[in-house]
Order: sequence, then structure tokens, then C-alpha cells
Amino acid sequence: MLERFGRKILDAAQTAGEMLALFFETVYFFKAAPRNLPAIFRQMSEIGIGTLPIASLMALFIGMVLALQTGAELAHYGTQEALGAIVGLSMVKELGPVMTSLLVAGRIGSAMAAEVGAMEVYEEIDALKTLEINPVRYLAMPRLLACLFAVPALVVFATIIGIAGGGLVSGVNPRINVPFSVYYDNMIRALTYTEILKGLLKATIFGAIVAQVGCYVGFKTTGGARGIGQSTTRAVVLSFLLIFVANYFLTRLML
Amino acid sequence: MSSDRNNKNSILAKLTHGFSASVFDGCECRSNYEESHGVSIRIEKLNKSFDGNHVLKDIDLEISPGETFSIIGPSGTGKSVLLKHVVKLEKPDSGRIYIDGHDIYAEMKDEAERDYRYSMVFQSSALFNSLSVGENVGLWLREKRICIEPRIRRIIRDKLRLVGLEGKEELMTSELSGGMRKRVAIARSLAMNPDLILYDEPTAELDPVTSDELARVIMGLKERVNLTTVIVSHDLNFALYLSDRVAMISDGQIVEIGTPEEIKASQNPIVRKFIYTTTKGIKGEQ
Repeated sequence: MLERFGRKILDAAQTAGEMLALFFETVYFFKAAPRNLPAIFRQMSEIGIGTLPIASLMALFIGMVLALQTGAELAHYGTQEALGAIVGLSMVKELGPVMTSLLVAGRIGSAMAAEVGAMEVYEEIDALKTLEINPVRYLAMPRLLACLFAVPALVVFATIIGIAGGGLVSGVNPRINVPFSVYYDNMIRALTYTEILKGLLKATIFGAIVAQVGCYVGFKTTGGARGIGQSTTRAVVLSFLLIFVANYFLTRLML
Repeated sequence: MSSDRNNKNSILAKLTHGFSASVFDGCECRSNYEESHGVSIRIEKLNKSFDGNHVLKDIDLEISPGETFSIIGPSGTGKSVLLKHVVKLEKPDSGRIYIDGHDIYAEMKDEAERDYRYSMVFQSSALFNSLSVGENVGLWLREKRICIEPRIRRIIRDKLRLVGLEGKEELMTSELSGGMRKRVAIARSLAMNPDLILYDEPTAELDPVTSDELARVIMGLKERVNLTTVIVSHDLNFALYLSDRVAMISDGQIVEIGTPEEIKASQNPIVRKFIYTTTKGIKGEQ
């Protein structure tokens, strides 16, 4: 049992090391970004525009539920005017970056792992190598760069929509009954540029996690269609886990 | 108005080509693209194991420049692994591979100075499904910025014509049959103007008629292009028809090398069994 535990720790350490090596190699190839712009824009469009409708819907309902739950409680103490600040800060600092990144991990990270994994299984990565094209430069670099820009942009949209959803509920729900102007003023007073930047920094790091995990798991895929399926699941689980862990440490650092 | 349009076209061409036009200084291609020569291959005492399974055992092989050489043998005997060593997709446990006298593993750091090009046609064709036929064929030329864009388009047309797929540039790979996919993979390899081309099981999953068409394509290339060709196949007739020499590999070892006639006349029991089995389609009796 001790041996099995030790092996698990060694495997985890190896995975972490390989992911870091892949990350640094990918960053090294950022210098090749100018001549890979079409691939980067294609990925950004897939991540940003492709995910926007579902991210908007998710953010709208998160904002609405947050306002509903919190507003109803605050109303008991007559402090529901603070709702704008609470929803605004929650969306900007936590829910916007975390929930949107989880959505991107589920939608895009899994697709990346499946696509790169299929390329690995069906010898396309080997073909790239024989064509003297570095697979990290050709596949991982555009995806990482696209995530670094598209995920924060997506988070901005999602956060605005979530805040608007909260405002809608607080104005319409008779138990809360906070006019939108009050909600908005309260939120603006609470939100500082620093808070917004912290949220965006989180989103950028989560975006990097999604891209790196998707590509890493894809490159490590073996075993045909079954292997591709397993990689898809593994990419989502690993991304979720790393986003939650990173979120704790980032929050702790930014306090 | 017309000059505006030309200017826009030029900017668009540069964008799609990755701002590379300036590197050619008026030439259409980099200086050494048009030159190609068959290369020699020498393999010495090559060994490879996977998880304790000894796949290649002391392989010694010599292939002459411009030769069409086939490696035949049953599935799972290490043929494809051997091929992957030649294109450095695998690293040997021991042994050496020399191409044109240069040890390919010892000189990894001098990759940029290598004066030969190689390409490989994979068993699964390994076409990129997100790209069209033309984009697949021109991928290396565009990624390496070998030529200016109009010249790349001409090369794509030429290479597709060589494999009998003229005018199919715009098709997506999902629209192709197995035989067409193989031919696109060959055209993609030829676009590199290689000195060495390797085929891994080119007839796998192809019907006899398509295999015959493919053999004719490879035969035609042999006559028109000066390159060294290495074919790995378990299709005996295909290998005997195309090759100048054939090597039989069994259980990770080379058991016979010779011309097609010598292989056919071989008294080696392993070769006889393979010939009997593949021609009769049933288990041979020795």
C-alpha cells in the first residue's frame, strides 16, 4: 500500500514537471506568434465567441440567484442596499473568473484534449515532426495565447451580465426591492480598479491552466478512441482541480 | 484603384503567408529547395526494446542512393519501429544510423546544417483533418516559408497532379477515400522535394485495385524523381513489384536481403513460409 502511495506521488510529481516543461516550451514559442496569427485568432474565436452565449446565460442566472439568496437574507436586517456591492464584488473577484473558467475548461479544455489526443493517436503529431514542424509551436502555442486573451475577455462579459442579472432581480423582486440606481451606485462605490485587475489576473491564470492541461493531456494520449475519451475526462477533471487549487492560493496572495 | 487593390492583395498575401515574403529577396524559393539527391542509409547494430520486449535485434542494413528498398515481414516484427528510427521518431537503445555518412543521432544539434530532406507517408496517412487537401500538401512549404505564396500554390498543383489528384485542392480530407488520402499523403511528402521518402504500410486497408493504382503512382515517381525510397509492407507482391532490393525481417532480425528474384528463389525457411502464406492466404507447411 505504501508502495502504491509512493508511486502515486511520483506520478503526480512527474506530471507536474512535464506540465511545467511544456508551459516553458510553449512560452518560448511566443516569439513565433506573429506568423501564427490566423491560428491564434481561430482559437480565440472558438474560445471567446463560441463560449459567449452559454457563458452569458450561466452568468445571468448566477447573478440572479446570488441577488435572490443574499437579498432575501439582507432584507431581514434592512441592509439590502448593500446588495450591489456584494453581487459586484462576488462576481468580479470570484464567481466571474472561476465559473467562466470552469465552463471554458468543460467546453474548450476537453475539446483541446480530444483534438490533440486524436492527432497523437492517428500519427498526425508524428507527421508534424517529420515535416520538421514543432508540435508545441504549432498546436500548444496558439491555444495558450488564445486562452490568455480570450478567457479574461469572456470573464469581463460574463461578469457584466451577472451583475446586470443581480440588478434585475433586486429591482423586480418585491422581497428585496432595491432600485437599480441604488444597486448600481453601491456596486460602483465598492468596486475598485484593483479588485477588477485581481479578477482579470485570476482569469488569465485560469485560462493558462485550461490551455496547458488540454494540450498536455492531449499530447500524452495513447490507446485509440478509448484513450481519447479518457483524455477528455482527464483534462476536465485536472483543469477543475487546478483551477480550484490556484483560486485558493491566488485569493490568499491577493488578500 | 487598381494599385490599391494590388496593395491590399499583397498585404493579405503577406498576412496569410506569415510576413515571409521579404526573406526571398526576389527569388521564388529558398536556394536549395529545387535540389534533391538520393541519399545512402547505413544501419549498424540497431537495438530497441519496449518494456523488456526486444523489438529490434542487431539490425544491419545498407541502402544505396536512389534505391527503392522494401522491408517485408509479418505484422508485429518491428518493421515500422525500424522506419521510425530512420526519421528519428524513436531513439535506439544502441546502434547507429548513418544517412549520407552522417550519424543522425550524434549530430542532432547540427540539425540546421543537415543537407538532405526526408519525409514519411504514414500507415494512417496522418492527414490534418482541419486542413483542406491543398493546405495539407502546402503545410511544410508555408510553415517553413520555403517559397513565396504563388509558387507554393503552383507546387501544390504540381504535386497533386503527380499523384493523380489534380484540381482537388479545395476538398476537405474527410471527403476523400482511403486511396485518395494515401495519395494526398504522398503529395504532402513530395512537396518537401525530399531526398529520402519512407512509406509505412502504404497498402494497409486498401483494396487490390487501389493498391495497384498506388503502386503505379510510386513507380511513376521512381522514374521521374531522384530519391531514395524505403517501403515497409507486409504486402509481398507490392514490395516485389516496386523494389530494387527487399529485406525480410522476422522477430526483430533481418533474415534475408536480395533482389526480388533472389527473394523469390530464397531457400530460407522463414522467407519460404512468408511467401507461401501470403500467396496462398493460408498457413504454410514446412
